[in-house]
Amino acid sequence: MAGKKNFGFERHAGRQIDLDHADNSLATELAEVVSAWSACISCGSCAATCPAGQNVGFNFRRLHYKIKLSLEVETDNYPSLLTSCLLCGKCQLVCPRGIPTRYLSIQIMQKTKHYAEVIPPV
Amino acid sequence: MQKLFHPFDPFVLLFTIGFSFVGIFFLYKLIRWIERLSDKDTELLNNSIFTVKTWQALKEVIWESLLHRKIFGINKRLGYMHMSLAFGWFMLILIGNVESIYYSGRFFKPIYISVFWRFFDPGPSFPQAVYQPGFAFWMDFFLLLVLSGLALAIIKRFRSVWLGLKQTTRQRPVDRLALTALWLIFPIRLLAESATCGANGTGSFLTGTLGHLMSSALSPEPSFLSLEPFVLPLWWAYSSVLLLFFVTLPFTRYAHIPSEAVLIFLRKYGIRVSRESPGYTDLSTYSCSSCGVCIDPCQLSDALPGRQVQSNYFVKSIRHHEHTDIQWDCMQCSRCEKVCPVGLELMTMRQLSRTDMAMGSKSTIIGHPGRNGQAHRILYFAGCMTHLTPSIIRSMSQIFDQAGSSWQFYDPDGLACCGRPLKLAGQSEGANRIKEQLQADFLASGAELLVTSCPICYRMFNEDYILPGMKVLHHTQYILELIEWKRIRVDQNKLTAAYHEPCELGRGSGVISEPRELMSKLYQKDTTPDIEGLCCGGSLGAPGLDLVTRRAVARGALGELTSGKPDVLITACPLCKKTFGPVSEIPVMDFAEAVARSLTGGSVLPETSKSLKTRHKQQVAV
Repeated sequence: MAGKKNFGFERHAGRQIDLDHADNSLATELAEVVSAWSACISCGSCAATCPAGQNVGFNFRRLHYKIKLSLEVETDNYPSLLTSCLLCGKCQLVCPRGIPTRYLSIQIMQKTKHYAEVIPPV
Repeated sequence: MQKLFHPFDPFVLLFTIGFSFVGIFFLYKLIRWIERLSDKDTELLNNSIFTVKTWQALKEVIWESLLHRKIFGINKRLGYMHMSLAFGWFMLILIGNVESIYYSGRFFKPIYISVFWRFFDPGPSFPQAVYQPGFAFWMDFFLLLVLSGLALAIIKRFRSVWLGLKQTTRQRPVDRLALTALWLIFPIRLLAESATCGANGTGSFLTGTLGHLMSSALSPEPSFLSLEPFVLPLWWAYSSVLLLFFVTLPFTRYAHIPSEAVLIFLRKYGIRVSRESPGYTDLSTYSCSSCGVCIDPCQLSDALPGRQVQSNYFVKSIRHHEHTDIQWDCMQCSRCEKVCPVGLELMTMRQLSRTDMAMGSKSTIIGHPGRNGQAHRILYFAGCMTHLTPSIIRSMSQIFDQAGSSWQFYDPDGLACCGRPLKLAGQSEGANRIKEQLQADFLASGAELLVTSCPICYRMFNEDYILPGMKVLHHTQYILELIEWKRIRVDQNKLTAAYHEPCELGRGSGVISEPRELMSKLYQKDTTPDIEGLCCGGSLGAPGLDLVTRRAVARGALGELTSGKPDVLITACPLCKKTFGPVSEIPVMDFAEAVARSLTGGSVLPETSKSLKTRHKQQVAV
């Protein structure tokens, strides 16, 4: 029988990064300012403790993971989501790698200012 | 008979050019400073200028700009150095002026006349003048005072420890040029006056004696003529260094000389650093004398050796409009602000410069589960950081329950933020939005008392929130009240303890005596060192600092705090506890925990993270 067979599970589209088109300039810039960022193990402690993350759909781990992989920079509304960051610094205190995540957040805010201006806040 | 023309010699032109330049520059600056005040501040200025405040400001100018009373309070030798230079020079100008008016009989005359008076009138004859304390005597006396200060200034540049400073300010090239000119002014003046006196056989104890020695060294015969050719070149040299100093002055730290006086007046009128009044902020940056008093108290001096991040460098960088990241390298502990002899609002200035850099946060807090309709007398606000130290929350609820208080936990899920972290990062807009929401929420709760465990929140509630009919207490204050009202009873135990004063609680909010009193109620022996409160290194004020630097600050502070070998370190801030915990050899506890342990009769000491780790390792090995 032609067509897709339903085996009770789905496959999603490939997540391979298209290196010809990926723009990792933001990640490079950030890594220059916050060098400790390279020690991130994406454990998610930052997102787990984030008070803003429990209020609005803000996920700090997903955010900088995406920046690292240069994923969907234009289409994603992360810069405007980041504006809900309270800069409380809890993520920094729980980070097992001691990354100054609060500063990282400020730096992302500054470097993605132009996105935030076009996308209305959440 | 009065002379028709004022005495004149071409060398006075150099001084006159320099002096006019400074005059015009600062007149222009003064207009700009006043012009760039907000409407509110202009109104303050207009309303206060003809009041008693002007006289009070004038008094403060004499005390601070001339006599440098505040620096005397910090360090006597340094105070003497600044006082002798400023007050001595002022008196030289004043007495020189009076002398020239007295002898010339003219009140209105070019400024150079009084500056170079000794050249035009060599004064009374030597050595008779030494025994008559007239103008010549007092001019010599104050010149000697200035020279003694200058000697200390030179020592300070090369051996600052002798003046009680571990480090002195590092200077820019133009500062060095002005400094050289300043150092040369008084010795050359001494030589020029002495040569004039020596050539004319006049002068008092300093210039007269030196002039006499100079002339006898040149010619053993008492002819007095041989000094003559040196006189004019020395006055040219004196006028030239004055020109050099005046031309460089507006671009160096010496710009504080005229600016600080203006600042004192405006501050007395109630004007403060704000984003709306850039003129006042600019005036503040000009008023920094770069004296270097802020360097030693800064804990980053040790933690970031070689980096110039202290307040005087920061003020310089914004004054010269340099685009650096220096505004982030500050823990906002306000130790420098406390000692600043000029009284600059250094913390606010840092926060404002951060606003310029980052974009306005649009933070909002949505909903606070955990609140019910019933009104309680006390609202307990733990704060973000306290949620990372749950034992403080547990202890607080034990204390509330034991005291039988009618209380309600405002943020059991850890979703609320007071807004101060945003404010410290320069995001005052976002901070305001949070403030508005929480404020309304607090007032709607119907509580009379707001107790918080976090000094950061406490300061924010006190400084920024408007909560009519609601008292705000830090938990140390609240616990002390409970003990005093005999609602709870704590037993003093035999341990030795030291108290770490959180920046935001002590210096920041002025809660100083309550925690210390609580210490005496809890512990028999208090080994808190008698020093200005230190920063733990975990500060929210410094987002740019990495973990290594933070740990270095924490270790430095711990070294000082545990110098009396205490058994336990007590703090009043969850962030301090969290920062000290991993690097401390002894247990670190919050007051709430210590009190709760005393209430429940449990063990008085918790385990350190180190001992926990060791035990864990042993268990794993088994």
